[in-house]
Amino acid sequence: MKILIVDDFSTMRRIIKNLLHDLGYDNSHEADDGTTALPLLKNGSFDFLITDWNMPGMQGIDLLRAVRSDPKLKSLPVLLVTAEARRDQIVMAAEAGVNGYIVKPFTAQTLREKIDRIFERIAAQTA
Amino acid sequence: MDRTERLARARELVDALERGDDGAAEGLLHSLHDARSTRLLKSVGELTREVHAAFGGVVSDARLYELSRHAMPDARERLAYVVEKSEEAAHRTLGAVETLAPIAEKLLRGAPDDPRALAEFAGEARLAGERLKLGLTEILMAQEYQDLTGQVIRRTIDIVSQVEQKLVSLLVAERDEPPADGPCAARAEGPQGPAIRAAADVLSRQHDVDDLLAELGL
Repeated sequence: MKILIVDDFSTMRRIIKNLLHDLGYDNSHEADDGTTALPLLKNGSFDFLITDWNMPGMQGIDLLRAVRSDPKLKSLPVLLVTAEARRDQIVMAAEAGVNGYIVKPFTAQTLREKIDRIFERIAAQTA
Repeated sequence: MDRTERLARARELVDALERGDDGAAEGLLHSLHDARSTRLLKSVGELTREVHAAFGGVVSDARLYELSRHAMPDARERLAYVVEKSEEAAHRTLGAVETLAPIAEKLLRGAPDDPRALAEFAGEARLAGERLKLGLTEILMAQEYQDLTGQVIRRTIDIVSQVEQKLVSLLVAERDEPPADGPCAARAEGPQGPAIRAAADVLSRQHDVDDLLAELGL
């Protein structure tokens, strides 16, 4: 499974990359904000997007909206991993079509659970 | 400009307006405004000196000076230092984790049955133990950044509080009335970063976020 990790902090990208490795996902790529992520997504046949919200340039919520409005990308599963935790923000992300939402700081177990859940749901929907 | 003088100017202003002498009225308005601006500028000057002194105080802190080597002339630079130190420490820790993970994986595959291979495995396991210990020490030591950044952040918070107090007293002096209680409401739009204190509309626990998402059908 080809995964794109989008976060402006390289340390966080590294942490997520390592956690994904532990979960058995070794094909992960990185981008530092929505502006750099979007062209990669459009050209890269990614299966999964994990993105931060608060980034310089294009923010995670706008990246999510861009993905949902792109005919080729609209069904790409998106997981937000962010320190943004206001109720209205979570509602906003849900309305924009996010598949999962993790608040930082998070644990490896939370990441595993959310990823599993997202793919279970997708499998159930397409079955 | 004292009270009597201000009152006198005000009377002149009323006179000028009643006479229909717009030029004189404009001039008087300017002089009243200038007097006010001078007072404000003087307060800002005092504030600037105090802020400068506060920053100087931090830089002269012997330990911070020695550790950072470079005098950091303002709060922005100090915070950049915090970002740099914490990033450095995170990479150092992650580097150690990446080195240690394959060693742990090797040990997890377990001992072979063949006696000769077993002897070899025992030697490797000992070596692996030593390397794990080194790596753990490396991770332990990488955490030292917290001491440095913690201090820098604390001092920066102190400075910001001092500036805030001075600004508030400046505002009080200008308005001649006490400020309303409570923090400034205006909540910025857009991303807020980590919630540093509990608030009613902040769901900082994953469990609460999950409940809300479930309500929303996710």
